[in-house]
Amino acid sequence: MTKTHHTFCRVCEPSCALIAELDENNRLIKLAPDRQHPVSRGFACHKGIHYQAIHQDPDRLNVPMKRSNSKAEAGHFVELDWDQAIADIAHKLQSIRQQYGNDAIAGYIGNPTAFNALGSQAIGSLFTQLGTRRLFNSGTQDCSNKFAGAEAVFGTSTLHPIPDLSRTRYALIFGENPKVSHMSFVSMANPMAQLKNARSNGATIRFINPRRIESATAATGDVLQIKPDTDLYLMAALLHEIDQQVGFDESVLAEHGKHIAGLRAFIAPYSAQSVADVTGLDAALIRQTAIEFARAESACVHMSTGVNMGRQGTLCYWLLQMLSFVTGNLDKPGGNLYGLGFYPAAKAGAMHNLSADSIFFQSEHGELRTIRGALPGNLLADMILRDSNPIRALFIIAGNPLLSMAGEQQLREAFGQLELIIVLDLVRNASAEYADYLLPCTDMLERPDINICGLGMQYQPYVQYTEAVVPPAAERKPEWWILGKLEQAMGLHSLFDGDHQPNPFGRLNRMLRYSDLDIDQLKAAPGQSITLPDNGTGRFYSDWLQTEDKKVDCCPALFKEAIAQAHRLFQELNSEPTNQLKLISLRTNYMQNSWYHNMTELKREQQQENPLHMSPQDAAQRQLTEGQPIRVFNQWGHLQARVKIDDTLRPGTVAMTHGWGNQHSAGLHVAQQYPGINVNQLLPTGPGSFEKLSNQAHMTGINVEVEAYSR
Amino acid sequence: MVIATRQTGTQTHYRTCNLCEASCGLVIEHRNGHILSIKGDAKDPLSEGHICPKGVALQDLQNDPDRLRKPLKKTAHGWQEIGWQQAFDEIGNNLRRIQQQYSKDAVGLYLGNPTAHNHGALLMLAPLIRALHTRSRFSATSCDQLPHMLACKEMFGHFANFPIPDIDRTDYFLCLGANPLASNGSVMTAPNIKTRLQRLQKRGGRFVVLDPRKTESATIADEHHFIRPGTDAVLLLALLHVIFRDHLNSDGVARSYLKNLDQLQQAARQISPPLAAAITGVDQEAIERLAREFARAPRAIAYGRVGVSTSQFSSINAWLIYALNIVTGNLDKAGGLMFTLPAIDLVGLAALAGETGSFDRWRSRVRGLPEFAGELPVATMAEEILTPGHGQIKAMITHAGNPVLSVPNGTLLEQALHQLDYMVSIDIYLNETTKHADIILPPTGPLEHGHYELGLHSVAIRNTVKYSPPLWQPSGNSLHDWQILAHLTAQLESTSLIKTLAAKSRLALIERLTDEGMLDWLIKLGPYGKGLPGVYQLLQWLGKNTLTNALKAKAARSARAVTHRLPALNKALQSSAYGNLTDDSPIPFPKLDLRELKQHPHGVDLGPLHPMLTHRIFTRDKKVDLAPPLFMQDLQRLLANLPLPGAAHELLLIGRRHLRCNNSWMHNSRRLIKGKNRCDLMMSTVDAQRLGLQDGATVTVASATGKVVLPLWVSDDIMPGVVSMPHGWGHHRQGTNLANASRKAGVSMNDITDHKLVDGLTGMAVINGVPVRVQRAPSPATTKQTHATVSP
Repeated sequence: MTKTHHTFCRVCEPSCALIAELDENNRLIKLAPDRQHPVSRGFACHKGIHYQAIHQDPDRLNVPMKRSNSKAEAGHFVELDWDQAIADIAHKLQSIRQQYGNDAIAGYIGNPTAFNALGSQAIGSLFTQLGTRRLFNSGTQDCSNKFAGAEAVFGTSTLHPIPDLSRTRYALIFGENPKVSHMSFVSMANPMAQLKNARSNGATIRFINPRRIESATAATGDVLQIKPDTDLYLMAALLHEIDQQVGFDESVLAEHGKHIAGLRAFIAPYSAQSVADVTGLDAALIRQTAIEFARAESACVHMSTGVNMGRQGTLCYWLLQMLSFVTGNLDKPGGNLYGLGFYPAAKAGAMHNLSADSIFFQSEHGELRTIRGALPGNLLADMILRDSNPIRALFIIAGNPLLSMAGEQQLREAFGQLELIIVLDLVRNASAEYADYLLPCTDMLERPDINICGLGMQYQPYVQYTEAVVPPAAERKPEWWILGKLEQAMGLHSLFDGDHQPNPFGRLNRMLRYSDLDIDQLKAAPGQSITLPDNGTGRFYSDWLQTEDKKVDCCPALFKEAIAQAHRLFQELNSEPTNQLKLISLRTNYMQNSWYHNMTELKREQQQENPLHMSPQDAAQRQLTEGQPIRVFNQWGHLQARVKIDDTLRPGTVAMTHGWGNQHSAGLHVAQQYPGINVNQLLPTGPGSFEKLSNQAHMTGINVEVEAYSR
Repeated sequence: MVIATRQTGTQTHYRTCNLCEASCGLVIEHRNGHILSIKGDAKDPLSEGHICPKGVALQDLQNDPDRLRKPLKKTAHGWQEIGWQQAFDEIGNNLRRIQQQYSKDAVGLYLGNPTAHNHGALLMLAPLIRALHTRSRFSATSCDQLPHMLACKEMFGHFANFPIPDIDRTDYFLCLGANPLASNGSVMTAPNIKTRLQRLQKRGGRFVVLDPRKTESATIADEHHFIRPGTDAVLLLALLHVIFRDHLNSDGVARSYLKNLDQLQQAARQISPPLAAAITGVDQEAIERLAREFARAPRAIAYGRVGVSTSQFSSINAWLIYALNIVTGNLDKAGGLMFTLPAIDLVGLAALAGETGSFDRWRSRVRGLPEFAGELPVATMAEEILTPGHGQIKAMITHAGNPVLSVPNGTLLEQALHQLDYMVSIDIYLNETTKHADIILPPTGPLEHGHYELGLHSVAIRNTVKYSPPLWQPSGNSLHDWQILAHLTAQLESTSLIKTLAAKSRLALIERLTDEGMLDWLIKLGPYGKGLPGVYQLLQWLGKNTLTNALKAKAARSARAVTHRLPALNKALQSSAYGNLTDDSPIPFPKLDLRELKQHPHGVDLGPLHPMLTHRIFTRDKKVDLAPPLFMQDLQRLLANLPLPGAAHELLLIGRRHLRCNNSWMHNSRRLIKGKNRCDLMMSTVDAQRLGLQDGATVTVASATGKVVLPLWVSDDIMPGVVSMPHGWGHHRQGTNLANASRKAGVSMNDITDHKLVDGLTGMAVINGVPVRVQRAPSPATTKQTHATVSP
């Protein structure tokens, strides 16, 4: 007798509904897309379907473990019970805090916690109470520029208008490959279907990407193959040409905008003609795109990691919003809309009186800010190795900083020197090899949840609850339980305080109440899902915009330094040698950042290593052939790889998939067998390697050299 | 000892300066026991009248009231002067006791750099080492020239067989990590180097400097490039890469003696010029051009010194520098790298005795660092003292060394010395190291004993020989280094009644022979010598009592070996094995012995260096190995850890030498330390602006080891990303007796160098390229704390 459970995927933004099939022993038999779900309607991708392999991975952590040898050696771990583990860790943390202060304890929070409503709450609670400023998260590797940009332009880090694809006549999509990533900062089921649908409704879709991405087909749209990390100048030129050729929507500007002169001053030098060389795009094409966009009945914009991870993601996000705003497409059907969902998260990130003086502070590592609480990940190693009050204890929660950030060698040195590393994860990943304590967590099938991640970014708003599909195996515990117990042991406020059963859903219930919902209603609903009203228009400027004067800031004063830098960088790019190779990052359907590497199913013959993708022209110029061993290097690092000729790349651009480099990951048997190469070794790290406005690391459009090489 | 009299009362004395490797001839005028002047000796065949401020300051050393004149003993009531015999007896009792109680290795030995400039000490070290029979031996070698020695051993088969730049006849001098204008040359005795380099330029040659700092030498060079510290090996590989790629290599006269050229080519292929440019910071175009220019120059020399030998790939550097010279046909060629033939041919004699150096015969107890020439790396000396267990060092003997200031992590060493059971120092000062001793034995000063450059004639750019007798006989109660060492040896040998008697008779013999007697024999036996009828007896004596560092551990076996080879040796010497090398010298010279030498107070010119490669290859197969396996293996370490610049905020600290400094000593000479403070941190304008620091600001320099506070000197003469400070300062420590030095104390660079940072192959200290952070010093009150030291 099998039974089925409704649940949903918590790997990436769409949060696709799934049906879990269990046997009579409550063992998972399979995961399948939920065809009945009102929104995802039977869409799910390899990540959700293959989650079964993660759930049943023999390498999963099952019991708390403690390191029994020095970090200089390969980790040797012994089991201990939860009480002992919690007591040990609490004691060590207390003594480090007492001796060195709160800032001696740090946290690195990985991306999967964004898909974990209870876990993320618990993390917030613990670190707030620990009083440390040393918080890092994966956001500074892929999206913190959006927080900074929205904060400066809209007065809140949590307002991210999403493209209204179903009604649009024109869409510009920068640095995003929906077919593989399924979009980010938009929670949209089956984005390819939405794009095709838009196209068949007559919309023009243009992708902007150095690669002829899989998403760009006759059924969707074409690609402007831009030079990496030059999107800012294309956006500026689009605005410049719109202003010159079509004109801004002056009534919208007058009513809802401010500092428009600043915007115009910034874009003034960047005509289509003047950016043609730097962006590598034909001036006429840029001009045409600008005119088409501005004249379209409705037009929407979106950008993602390909732009975020460059050097000027915040300014790009600013200009992206400007493209929408100055053409009157913001808060307009077919334009960009706020996706309210069950709770107005846009208000939660409101920040008033933004100024350089109020957000930046002096540090040993230069002038810094935090972005939604996070310091630059690229300073983590520095704050361990080169700080007068160094980090001594580090929580790594659902993260793998060693392979997902720049500076692997330095991080290894830094982790090797930490007094205490506490890892909360499903597996012992590359970073966890340095752990002092390994705490086994429940996976998404073992814990209840709601689809919190898409809040404020849902294309078709709905809220879904899932029970734990199966009970946690072995000694695995949810993060909220582990951190709550730890808080209790440290004498901090904890869910476990008092005699009553802890109710981790309390806060979520309070949020749901905004939509007159609660968890019990969700539980009772069919498929535990309740659809919410469609994203409306008309409330953006009055309700969701959070600037004090309710004006969109078209040129935030905070950007002054970044704007000057942008003009300098333009000159720099202009004088670069024409044959300078630029490395961009790449994702395939066989990976998800640094995870999904431990499953045989995804290590098919062509997916067992990560070669350097190179255009046929670049290969020919260097007399390189398919499969040839090469060395890739720049001032930051060097690696050896093989050439993969890839005609989808713009010449001058090379690409490698990231998240590899599991040579030393003894806790991941499959991944270690196909270790691949950590491309992040080629990325800059330390002061100056991230965008000062947002802490976003510079991770794409990296100058590299490639040469034939074999030892 | 009166050599010449110019006018009544005023006397003139000629000698060689012992302070640095340049070995300049001096003219000292003195009257009634007072030095009137010290000047350069224009008639010295090597130094041509050159002198630097240090030579003039020899009189300060002679007259220094802080100089110790009698043995000092540490007591509960402070230091007390004691008699020599009491000192030797107490030392003997304590050292014997400790060796009996723990192990032979429980007594350690550290030899400072000045030992190498003291023939008496050099002659008597071997017996002392044999009597000590300890593996706990250290010297300044492992924070100085060890990599060059290892390269000589691996490539030419003999660790002391240095090929020397024939700078007077070359057309191209490529200088890496060396600043001969400040150092006066090293492993290249080349006094008056500035003039020699200018002569090179006048005859149309090029002088090119690669250095992270625009050094004094770089300012007169035709071309200077900044190079990132620790990346020289990569640059050298790229130069070789271009040379091989463009087929610019030529074997020259060494052709039939070379092996493993293909392996060297394979190694050079690993580093392309673009990669080298990214790593070193030197333009790709410059790398290509320098390689071509060097290879095409008729006569060219590549030379590297402390900058390359105290960095993270120092062994590879030393190897590749020699290799670059060799594959461009510049070995054993006038104007290239040549071998010397000194009047006392230590290299040849040691080789005859079967001693050509050793590496990695054993490893250090605590960190497993390899032995070299019987010594362990200084980088591990403190650990060997501090780490309990069998073989822990409980007592130390130091000779003419101040390792607290001159080896990495001096603070740790201070702690270590402080906890020793017993320590003996042979030194003329109560300094930062000797203050930890239980007894200090002060030898005579440099003007009070004879001087013969036993070691440096072997590395000079011209074959010359000179003996300087003492200027003054020391006061009655003084002992020379060789006498002190001989006494200590006798003490250590006196473990039983019979052995005590034997030791005493050997001591008596040595005292009767004297250092001059020993020198006389060795000169007579040498290539220019008068010959010695009693060769056999001498060799027996050598075998037993020995003269070179080389003979120590295997003395008995060596003696046998020498005896067995005697027929051949006798024949060789009698038919003058050196004959074909010396007879064609353009300069006639007398057959030498010490008496003859004394007739030539300015020294004897033995002519320019001669081709003599066949006599200077000591490898078993008589081939020069261009790709020794040790280095090829270490190359893999380099390739796996290419020293790319990475984060620009990481400042790399390098050292800096000043003409008026001589490592950690000579700072008590007022005339040398007067004027502007020299102990400051040099930083590029770019870095200073980035860090918001102004010239003259007081800054804290912190490393993984510790921190120091010193003034900042902002200058464009240093590469961005690099900072530089001199070493040997830090005389603020309590308990020393160095009045002038402690008034201008400075801070010690070695308080922030890291003993854990070593060349992976040899354990050689990394002193250049230490990662540091620099920031404005908090406030004068807190900076005081950084000066706190451990006092005894």
